[in-house]
Amino acid sequence: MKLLALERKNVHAILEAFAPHTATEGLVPQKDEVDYVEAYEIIADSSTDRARIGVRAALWMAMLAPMWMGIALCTMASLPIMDRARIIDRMLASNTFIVRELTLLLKIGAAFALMGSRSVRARSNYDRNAVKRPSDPIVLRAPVRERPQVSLPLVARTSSPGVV
Amino acid sequence: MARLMLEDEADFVVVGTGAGGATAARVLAGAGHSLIMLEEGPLLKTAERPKELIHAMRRAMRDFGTFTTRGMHPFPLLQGRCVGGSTAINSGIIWRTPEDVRRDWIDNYGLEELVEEKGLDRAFDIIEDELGVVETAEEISGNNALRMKMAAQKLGLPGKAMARNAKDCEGRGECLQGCPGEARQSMDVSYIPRAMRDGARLHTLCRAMKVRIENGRAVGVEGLVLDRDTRKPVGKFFVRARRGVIIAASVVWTPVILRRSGLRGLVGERLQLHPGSAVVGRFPEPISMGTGATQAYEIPMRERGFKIESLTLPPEMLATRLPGAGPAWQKLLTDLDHYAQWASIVRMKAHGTVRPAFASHDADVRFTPLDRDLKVMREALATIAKLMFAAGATEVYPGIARIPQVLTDPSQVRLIEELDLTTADIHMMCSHLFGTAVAGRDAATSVVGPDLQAHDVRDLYVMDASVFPTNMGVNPQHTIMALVWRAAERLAERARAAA
Repeated sequence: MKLLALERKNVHAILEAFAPHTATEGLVPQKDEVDYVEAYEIIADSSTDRARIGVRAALWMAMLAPMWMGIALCTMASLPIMDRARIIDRMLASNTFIVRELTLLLKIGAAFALMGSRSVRARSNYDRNAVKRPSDPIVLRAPVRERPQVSLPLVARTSSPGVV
Repeated sequence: MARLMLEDEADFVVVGTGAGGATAARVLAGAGHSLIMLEEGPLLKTAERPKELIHAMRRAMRDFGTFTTRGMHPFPLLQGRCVGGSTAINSGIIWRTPEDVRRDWIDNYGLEELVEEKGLDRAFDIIEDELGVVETAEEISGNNALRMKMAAQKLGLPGKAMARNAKDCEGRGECLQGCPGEARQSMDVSYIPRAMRDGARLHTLCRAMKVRIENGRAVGVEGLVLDRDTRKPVGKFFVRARRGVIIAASVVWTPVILRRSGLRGLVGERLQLHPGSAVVGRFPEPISMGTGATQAYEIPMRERGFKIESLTLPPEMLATRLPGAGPAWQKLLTDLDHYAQWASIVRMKAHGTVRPAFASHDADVRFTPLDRDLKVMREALATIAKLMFAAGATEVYPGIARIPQVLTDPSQVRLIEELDLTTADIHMMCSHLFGTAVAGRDAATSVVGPDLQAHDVRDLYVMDASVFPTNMGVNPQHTIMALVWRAAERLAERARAAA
């Protein structure tokens, strides 16, 4: 999905507000420790056409939330991060199904981005007591974004790009 | 689109490599028939499957799990889209067909020859032996499951260790990402390699669009060749079947292919589901959900219409499941090893439909739970909340709108019990689907006969959960495989005799 500059700026502003880097307790990511835009793009690109519309609608709904919630005449990216966090929290608790669900889509993006960061995941303590097994391989972790795979050429007759 | 055509030919062509398609391939190739398997997704070798959830889901799951029902309150239908189908992302839970379901299929649908007791048991025995089905041992169950066991015993509920096709499971909790030790015998590491050793060929990245029918007989499958990365069509294929076409593309995609091929009647009707929802609990002691089998313990309550399962969540999904945003959410995220999650699956009575979507390759799935179904879901979620408190949870997150997002006292469970639950209040998802090309003796009320051959088209077979006349209330993989095993054996015999 190609994002406009305005959208890209707001994706970051909205998703980072789920876990503000200015918070004083809890799991606090450092500024720029997490690539929110990348997670949003991967999810959008991997989704059905309909879900992609939903992901984009969620972005615009949140982006314009300060206006339709009567808070300020600006987009989310213009607000301080803690104000953004409060607005998102209200949207998640909304009585309107569509608002709640679209905000949840954004929360999924934020959670995937946060826990996709090795350092943030380590601080979440999810793996604190993980049992190590003798057969555990030494894992060379893939970079955050997989390198695009080269498409195999089509081969005529009795073969296919994925023939095995 | 590239104009290049891929062409191939074999005795049998099987569309789909999940539990149904792979079992058909295993039996037919094992009987010496030439066979081609077509799979829309890629072949993901175990070592190549990404462990990061975002990449694992992107590669192995259909549309990142965003394929949903339509309507006011859609919910996701989770399916694998890779060699092995959904068996490559599920937990390998094994249940033999419940006796009441088997009897119903005989009495009301005339499926005696398909599900007669001795023959079905023989198929179950073979499959369990070949796939290493065992009860999950306590040592690898993990605290998420063991807490549920403790709570079930406390409340006197009928819990049990799950039987799974994962004899050598080490309890890594990575079923969704692809079992790193290949302990789970998903089809990509069991029946498909075996069929290929017996001479079957596998074409991946081939999306079947329609069955070619000539003079009332299925003669092959046409479709599109997809690009591995973009999933966009880059070519076309036609694979000719000398003896039969087997469609095993799932309850959603099988009826879509059949309808595109000109079949009508009940094709796409009678969709039935086991939608699920989950409750998370916070415990004072570490649960370490990431250690232990993804799923290991269950409380079957078939007489009440639901089943409860322990279900490990990766941190990404667990974080999503915890309530709120901002500092309150961040506080919950610091101890992700202190949470347990248990899910309910409900045997819903509602019927839905599947149709090819207008002007796209998509499917249009409609399903609206009945009021009765939502009442069962409410009871299931309330039961899980009670179990959580019985297990020692200090906070329970029911994930239900219109009640508090955090319950801190067992007396608050009545808030769930008293709620007039609607589909807008909960997050459901579903991976157990049934119907849409139902089997039966009577052509007026079914799509395929007891031999799983289409009533209207010769040599066209359906071999997946689409043929189930009803849903079952338990995990369907084993029943799919056993039914297909029996139908494929008979098909192999007939083909041998005809040759």
